[in-house]
Amino acid sequence: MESIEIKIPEDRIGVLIGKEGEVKKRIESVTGCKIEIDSKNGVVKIKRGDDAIGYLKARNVVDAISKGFNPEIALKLLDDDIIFETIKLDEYVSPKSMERVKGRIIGKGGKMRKLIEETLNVHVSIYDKYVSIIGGIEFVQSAREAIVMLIDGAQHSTVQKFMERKKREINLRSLDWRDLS
Amino acid sequence: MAKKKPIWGIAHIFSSYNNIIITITDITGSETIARVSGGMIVKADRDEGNPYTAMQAALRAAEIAKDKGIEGVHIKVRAPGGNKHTTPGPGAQAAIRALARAGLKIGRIEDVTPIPHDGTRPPGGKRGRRV
Repeated sequence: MESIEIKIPEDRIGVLIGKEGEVKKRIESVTGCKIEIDSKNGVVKIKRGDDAIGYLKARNVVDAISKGFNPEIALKLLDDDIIFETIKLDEYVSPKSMERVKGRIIGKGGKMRKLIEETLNVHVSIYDKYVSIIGGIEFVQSAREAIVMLIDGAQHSTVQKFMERKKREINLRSLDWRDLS
Repeated sequence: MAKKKPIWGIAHIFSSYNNIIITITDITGSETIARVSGGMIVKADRDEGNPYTAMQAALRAAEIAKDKGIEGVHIKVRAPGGNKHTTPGPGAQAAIRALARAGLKIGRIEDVTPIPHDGTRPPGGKRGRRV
């Protein structure tokens, strides 16, 4: 069967394995995949079991953990409607202003990140040069737009208003999608 | 007649934020068996890319393919790629799930997003998009 290798940072290896292999076992049992971790260089090999979708999910969970999420949140990805999305900061900003932009997204004492998480009902993690989002599909899309606005230099209040508008739109739309198809 | 081998096809899933296109071909990839896109399912443009549409589209494509004798599919997922984003949209997973649920066997899954070996400059210019 097919397999894939993902390289994860050293300090995330322990998190992926968990206490006495708890996290790893949980992923394996739910997705039917086999996970091999090389703790020397941080290469994770995921071998696919019978379940094709489980394989995709296992990949997502490992990726999410490597991008700084704690296992409890990453394991939410085993749910069908929760998706994971990453923004690579180095595609938007130069290394010199990376710190500053990360600071903008996090906000004073984590204020902005908390605001994004609470308004749009998502989880945001800022790790290394990645900003990652976990949550419902439409919310993640909006959160992504909001974060890109912040990266591009929009004012925090603008982004806040934007997110509130999006939230209202999504809630309104969730009432009518079923009878469209 | 000898015992027939299961007939495999390839499901090409192109998934962006704004649309989804599912094309099921035979194993060579040159003969199209079924093709369904987001616009064939919903009327509103903004709904074309969402996972519910993807699910419906996959179900419809699977139905046509099964009518024509396909029993299992390998999957090639693709995002817009190039200088646009390289992760498949929200519809991709939903579509694969729906294909499995429609009774098609799922073989290998592959990501075929085109990755530039340094191509054209992304839109926006040096100073970024100004609104």
